[in-house]
Formats: sequence, structure tokens, C-alpha cells
Amino acid sequence: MIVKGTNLKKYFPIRKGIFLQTAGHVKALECVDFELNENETLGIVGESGCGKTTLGRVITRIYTPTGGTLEYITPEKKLLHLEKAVDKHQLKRFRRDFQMVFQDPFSSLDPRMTIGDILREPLDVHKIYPNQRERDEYIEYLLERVGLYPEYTARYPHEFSGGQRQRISIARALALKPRAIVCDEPTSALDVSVQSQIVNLLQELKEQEQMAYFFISHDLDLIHHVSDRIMVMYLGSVMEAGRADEVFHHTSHPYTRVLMKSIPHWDPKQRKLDKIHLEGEPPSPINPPKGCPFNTRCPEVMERCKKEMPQLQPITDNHSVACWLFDD
Amino acid sequence: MSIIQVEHLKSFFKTDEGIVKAVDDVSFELRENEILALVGESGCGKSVTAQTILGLLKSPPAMIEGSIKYHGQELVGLSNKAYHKLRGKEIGMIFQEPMSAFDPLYTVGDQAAEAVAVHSKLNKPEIRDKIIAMFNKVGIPEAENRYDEYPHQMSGGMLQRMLIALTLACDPKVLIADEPTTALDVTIQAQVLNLMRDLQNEFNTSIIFITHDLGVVAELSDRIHVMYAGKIVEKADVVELFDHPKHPYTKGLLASRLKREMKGQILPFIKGTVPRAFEFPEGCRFHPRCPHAMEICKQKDPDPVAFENGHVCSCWLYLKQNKTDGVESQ
Amino acid sequence: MKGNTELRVRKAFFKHKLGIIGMIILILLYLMILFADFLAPYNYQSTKRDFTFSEPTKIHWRKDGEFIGPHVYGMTKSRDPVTFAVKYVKDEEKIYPIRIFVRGDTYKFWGLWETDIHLFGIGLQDDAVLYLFGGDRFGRDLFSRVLIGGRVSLTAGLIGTLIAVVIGAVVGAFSGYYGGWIDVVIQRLIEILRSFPRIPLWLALAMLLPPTWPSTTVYLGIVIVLSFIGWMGVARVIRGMVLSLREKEYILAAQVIGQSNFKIITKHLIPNTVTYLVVVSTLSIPGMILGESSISFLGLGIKEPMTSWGLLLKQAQSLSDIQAHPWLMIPGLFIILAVLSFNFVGDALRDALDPYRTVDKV
Repeated sequence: MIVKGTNLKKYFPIRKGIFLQTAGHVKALECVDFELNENETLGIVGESGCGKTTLGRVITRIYTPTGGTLEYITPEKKLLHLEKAVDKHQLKRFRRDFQMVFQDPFSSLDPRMTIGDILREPLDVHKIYPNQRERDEYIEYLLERVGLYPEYTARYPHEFSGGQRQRISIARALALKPRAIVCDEPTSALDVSVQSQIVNLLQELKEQEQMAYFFISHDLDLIHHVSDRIMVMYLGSVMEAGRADEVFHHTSHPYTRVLMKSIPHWDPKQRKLDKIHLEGEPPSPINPPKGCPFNTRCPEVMERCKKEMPQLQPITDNHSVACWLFDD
Repeated sequence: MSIIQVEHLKSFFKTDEGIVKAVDDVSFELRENEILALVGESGCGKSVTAQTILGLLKSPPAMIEGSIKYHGQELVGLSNKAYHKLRGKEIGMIFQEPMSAFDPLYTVGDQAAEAVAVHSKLNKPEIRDKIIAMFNKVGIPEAENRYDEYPHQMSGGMLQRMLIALTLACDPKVLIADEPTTALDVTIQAQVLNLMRDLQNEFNTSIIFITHDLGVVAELSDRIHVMYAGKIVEKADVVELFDHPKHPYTKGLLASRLKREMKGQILPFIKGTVPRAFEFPEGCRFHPRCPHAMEICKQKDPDPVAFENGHVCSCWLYLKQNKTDGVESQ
Repeated sequence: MKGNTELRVRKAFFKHKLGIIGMIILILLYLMILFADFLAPYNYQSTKRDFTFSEPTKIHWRKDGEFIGPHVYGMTKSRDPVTFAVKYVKDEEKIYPIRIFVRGDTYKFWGLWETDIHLFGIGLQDDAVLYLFGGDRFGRDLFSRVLIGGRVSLTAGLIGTLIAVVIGAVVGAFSGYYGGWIDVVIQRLIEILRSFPRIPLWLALAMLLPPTWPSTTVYLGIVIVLSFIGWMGVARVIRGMVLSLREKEYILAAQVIGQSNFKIITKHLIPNTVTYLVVVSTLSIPGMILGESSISFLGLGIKEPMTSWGLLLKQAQSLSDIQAHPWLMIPGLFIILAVLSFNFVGDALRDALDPYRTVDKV
């Protein structure tokens, strides 16, 4: 195991007035449990506002969690608690092992730095390769590794297309030889014809470098393609989790089922969107509903759902659901 | 019968980098009561085509050639004033970001009323009733109360429905929808697509639907035109295109779809990247990325070849074949 | 394409005619103060009791209809017996030709070596002067004093702005990046300081400078007083920019890499506001120049015998002075010229670097 979160919460304060008094909270994450194992892809899927991006940023400690525990197990099997203020050196060690690839290839690279500068930064921060020649060779190797030419080091980000920038972003994440990479929608800003190139690259790197991925996407098909295990999120909570095949072939939670049906099928002879009926929209995370967060839209809603929040319960060995329908 | 007839349309832009041939010699027709999908990736010219039809491009820097006929009326070179009468009333439009279509300072109802008032002679309470009726029709809950709310109080999906309601309130013959569901979540996208289908049936509107998402196209459209780098490379009706794609680009796009049984395997992909608008290659613009590229592809742009069922494809592969088969090329 | 962007910016700048004119004037002004000792025919401190308030010297080219080159005549001071007004009577017998590279007052060129060569002049004469802009009440050459005074006025604005922009950028970046109570404290402080009227605040601060200080220290003091007010505007805008920049994914990426907050601010945030800083600097120099002039004009800044344009204008405070000796207003023209030029250049720069046209996505 590399990292484990228990009961993770993240609330963002809404501030008002000249002295910024807290007027309420955006409850982005509500009691999320997860663990990420060595060389595994954990897929997080959900619609906008479900908290998947927040979770990714809590895991990389861009955000400090509001509650719960976040444990990191170092390669030496030491346990570090990351949920509170962390020792600077320990955090740096963790940063080296945990990298991130972002969604927007147009804002994830500093426009004023050359590709060489961008890839040099992580190496300099962690003082890897103090020898300049070795370092430059390694940077060229990295570029080749992600399918770009080593001559690109002197160029600026705006000279590249979205797909190429995403490759540079991946090279930067790879530079520190991390144990895990958080991929936050790495393909959704790219052209359709380029998306598969990036997915293939990520898959190939995972196998060769023995890394784990924390893969965030709104695209169910993509999540199924890359993940070993998946978690389906809605309004800050996990609705369903388990082995990817299990969840896809024995979809249990009403929300996951609706989500599955909402994906267009690429088959004009079997149009299906008019057969689904999901009314309404997700409620605001500032005032989430009492009980199950999905109760306002659920086609199978019961009285109980409006009062009590269901917990994630295993229904088979590799599959758990948070829904009162599965409560025996 | 065709409502819009586009012939040899060219929209070029003069920039510091040189002339950008955003739309280069595009011809197609929109038939009555159909949903025509223009499909392509970023920079393929699909949005520019729509903006040209709507007369939204300023020239200069835009240079527009060719012909766009709406019910026989020529739109290229039409004055701004004449266009103003046409837009909304005859040709409606919906964009990707519904938020940007609304002014944050006014209530959605006021803005809807303003849009309706331009083209109708109803008095104020009548307009209000009409708009609330439209809001109800597009599935907005508590439409009466929503009328007096501001855009920021509404979600993207809700605003997009309102925009659709607003556009249809003017009863246009043609609706141009530019990536209307791209900014929405899948469950909301499904709702909006259903809504558009239902309304199209009810109002007999013809729709030009612009998107990069082949899944959405498969669900909604009647005919598909695939665009690449400023040109239409393939035209066919929806079932035909998905069953028998002809152009290597279309084939590549369809193959890159994620299939469940392919889990964990290497996905088929189109090599290279989409060219930027000021550096389109010579010859067939797809040739640097094409797995079947031949010598001729690098030199000359292929003419469209007609197949049965109205299937048209611009590719040298078929031009050669056609010559040997003795089938007449278009 | 970085080269391309530079080219485009340069092209856009040179389209701005007033910007180019401003630029040329500024280059000339700064060359002028750089070589002021050499360009000035006299030492700015040397007084000539016989030539107090002498009007600008007339340069003659012909003598009795015959061309003999530029020259001035000797003068004798006398008083009108009726009005007691000072009059200068020229003595056409005494001809002093204007020569170049003439010997005159000694000065230390750039403080390095002593010399007495001036670009032009008539040398040191007892009964004649070459006062292009006239003389002041101690009989000093106003032209020479304007050149020297420009040193203070033009550099105080430049250095003051530099300090203000550095402080403003750093404070603004920290305020925006850290947010929370740091931001609240800094922003409220700025609001309070900015709500003070500007000139009284300058004066209050300038009064803190001990009158016993030597001129150079006073000069530094003035510069610091100016930048003390100037940084706040810069800080506010930089904070706003940083607030939006810090949400950019490349800032998050730097955090994930483990880059320190200080380095994130200095390596990523501030460099990305540089185009703005350039524009804001150019546009705030005029304010600084005017500020120095105001302080000195009110007698709280630079002290005699050091001088600045503001201090020179002080002599033209009363209407009767201006009526009798209108040439004392000349330093004001220089202030206007410099301020306008900076404004033109600033406008041109802003147009050229306009963020809406510099989007790096093509």
C-alpha cells in the first residue's frame, strides 16, 4: 500500500465582509475512504462538483484535509501522517514520490519557461543530478521517453499543441521517478484523435516504471479502460467502489446505473438516451440534502434515504455500495 | 427540399502569421426537418462555418467567398441590418457556454422577454406568459419563480435549456447549435439532447449540430459531415457513416472509441497532431497523419467522390479505384 | 515564437507615434543630465552678483551688417533713476565670441576627474555672461541649473518607481499568494494609507528628514518618501493578478514538485506579471517626478545649493516674480515635457503589451 485515506473531509469556507468572516462551507468532500496500492490504477469517476478534483488535490497535499486521516507508507515501510502540519523534510520526501498530471495543458506549463527549465525544476528542487551534463542528458531522455524530440528543450510551451504539452506535463511528473501519479482528467481537454495517444502513453509508462495511478475522469469508458479498481463519486461522497469489471458488469448503485445509461453509445441503430429518465440536477454542495446525497434525483428513493446517510457496504468481495437498497 | 444551400464557401482570415484558411471550399445543404451534424476536432472550421452562415464574422479580417442561400436568398454580402432581421427570427443559435449568452445584470426572464420582443408584436404580459410556457416546455422546474432570477443563480444545464427555450420562442426555421452539450455533465447532456430531439419534432426545425463528440452525433443526427482542417472530407447519413466509414480520418476517429472489450490494451490512434490553422499542409490536408498516404496525396487535394446512398468522400484512395472501375467521379 | 512575440510588440509600439516622440525626448533628456556638467556653460553654483535676474542673453551673429559668428556683448548693470528697476546696458564695443570646448568653471566629470572644459561658452568674463535661460536672484545661470536640477528630478522618479515597483510586486504577490489573514492585514493597511491625502502625507514624511542632512542623503530620503506612497497601487494590482495566477495549474504543479513558496512567488508568479510591471512603472514615473517637484517646491525636499526642477520653480512662486522675470518658469516646461513623454511611452507600451492581444494560444 502507498497511501490510505480514512474519513477524509474537505470543506472550503465561504468568506464575506471586510474581515472575511466565514459565512458557510462548500462541502467538497464528505467522509471519503480509499487506499492506493503499489502499481495499481484507482479510477475516480463522477460529474462536475462531485469532489473528484478536490480529492486528487487532498491526496497530493495541495489542499490540507479538514478532517480524517491521510497516511503515507514510505518505501521503507514507515508510516507518515499527512493530514496535519507535516515536517518539511517528510513532505518533500512525499512530494518526490507523488506527482500529478493536470487537465488543462494550456495552463499547466509556465508560459515564461522553456521546456528545459520546466523539466529541470523538479530535479533542482530535490537536488537530483547536481552534475549539469548528466542532468541535461536525463532531461533529453525524459523527452524521448514521452515521445518528443530532445531538441525541444529550448522551446517555449506555446510552440506546442495540446497533446504535446500534455506529454511535457507527463515528463515533468516522471522526472522524479515517483511511486504514484495523480492524473486529473489528463485527456479531456485534448482532441479526440490525440486522446488515445496519451492514454496509451500513460498505460505504457505505468507498466515500465511500476507506478500507481490515481486516475480522475468524468468519462466512464476511459475509467473502465485504465483502472484496476474504481470509485464512483457524487456530491463529495463515494457511492460505489470496487474492481472495475465488477462495478461495470454488476452495476448496483442507482446513480452509477443512470451514469452508465447516459453515455452515448456510438451506435445510431440503438439510440438509447430517450429511454433514460433522470430528472433534476445535483444539489449544491453548500447545502447538501439530508440523508443520501442522491435522494433528490434517485428513481428508487425510499423514506429512509431522506433521513439517514448510507455507508459504503461490501456486497461481494471486491465490490461495495453506499445505498439502502442493499441493506439487509 | 433544402433550406440552406452552401456552395464553395471560403472563410479566410488575414493575420500576422499569414492567411488562415479556416474554411476552404465547403459545400453542403441543410434539408427541411433534419438534424445535420458537422463533426470535427478543434480548428477544423466547423464553428467558423456556423459563424459565417450567421454573418457573425467581421470583414476585415475575415474574407468570405462563395455562396450561402437561405430559402434562395443569398446571405454572403448581406448587410448587417438585413442579417439582424434574419438572426433569431429565421435562424436561431445556441452556443457552448450558455453563461456567456446571458448578461449577469438582468434577470433571465427580462433577457428572454427582450429577445422575444424584437421579433413579435405581443404585449408585455403576453410575452411573459409565452416565456413561462416555453420554460415549462424545456423542463425548468418552478418556471414562474425562475423567470425573476439572475443567470448566476442557475446551473449550466438550466441555462442551456433556457437558451434553447428562448431561441425556440422566436420560432426559427433553422437552429445552429455549436457544441451545446460539451460543457455539461453526461446526465445533463442526456436531458438536453432528448429535449432538442423532442422540440425538433414538435417545431419542425432544421438543426445544424456542431460537435466533436461522435457519441452525441450517433444519438441525435440524421446526416453527418466530417470536417478536417477546413474541408469536409466525408458526408453520409448517420447509419451509413458509422457502419461503412470511407475516409481514413473518419475510420481513425471511429476506431479510437473506447470499447469495453479492449480494456487495458493499446488503443488504436491517429498519429501526429491536428495542424494549426496557419500551417495546413499542401495536398490532402490529412496526408501527414494518414496511414494510406500516397505520393499524389502530398501534391493535390482530392475531389469528392460520390457513392450510393448519398455517401460522399474526398480521398485519393477512391479516386484511383473509381478510375479503374470506370465509375464516374463527381 | 518568443522572437515573434517580441517582434509583434515592437511593431505595435512603433505604430504609436506619440510613444516614439516621447521615447526620443526621454532619451535626449537623460543624455542631457548624464553630460550635464559638460553641457552647462557654467558651474550651477557659481554666482555673479552683477548679473542677478539678468534676462536670457541675446546671441548676435552680425556686427555692423557683417557676419562674424555667434557672439555676445558685454553688459553693465545699472538702475533706472526713476523706477529703480535693474537694467542691463550692453556695451557693443566688447565682443565675446561663443566658442566650443571652452575653458570655464572647473568641475569633476562624473566625480572622476577634474576638468574645466565645457561644450560651449564664452569663458569666464567679468562683464559678460552667456545665460541662455537668464539668471536667478544670485546671478547663477538658470540653464546650467536646469541641466543639473534634471539629475535630481529625472532620477528620483526613476529610482523611486523602481523601489515602489519592487516593494509593491513583492508585497502584492505575498498578499495574493498566501491569502487569508496576511492578505486581510495587508489590504486593510493599504486602504488606510491610501485614504490619506497624498501631498500632506508626503510633506509629513519629508519633514521627518533632518534639515542637517547633506544633500545626497536628503535626496535618498525623498526617493524613499516617494516610493513609500507609490508601492501601494502596484501592490493592489499585483495581488489581483496573483489571485488569478495562483489558480493556474502550473502553480499547482510547482507545489506538487515540492518547490518552496518563496521560489514559487519569485520564479513563477512575479515573472508572469512582468509585462504589467513594465507598463505600470512607466506610467507611475510621472507621478513620482511631480511628487519630487511638489516636495521641493514647498521647500521640504532638496535644499540649496543642490537643485531640482521643483526647487527651481520655487523662485517663481509669486506673480510679481513671474511678471518681472518670466524665464524663471522654464524649469516648469521641462517638468511638463518629461511627464508627458513618460505618459506617451507608457500608453504606447500598454497598447503594445495589451494582454488581450498577447494571448499565447494562436
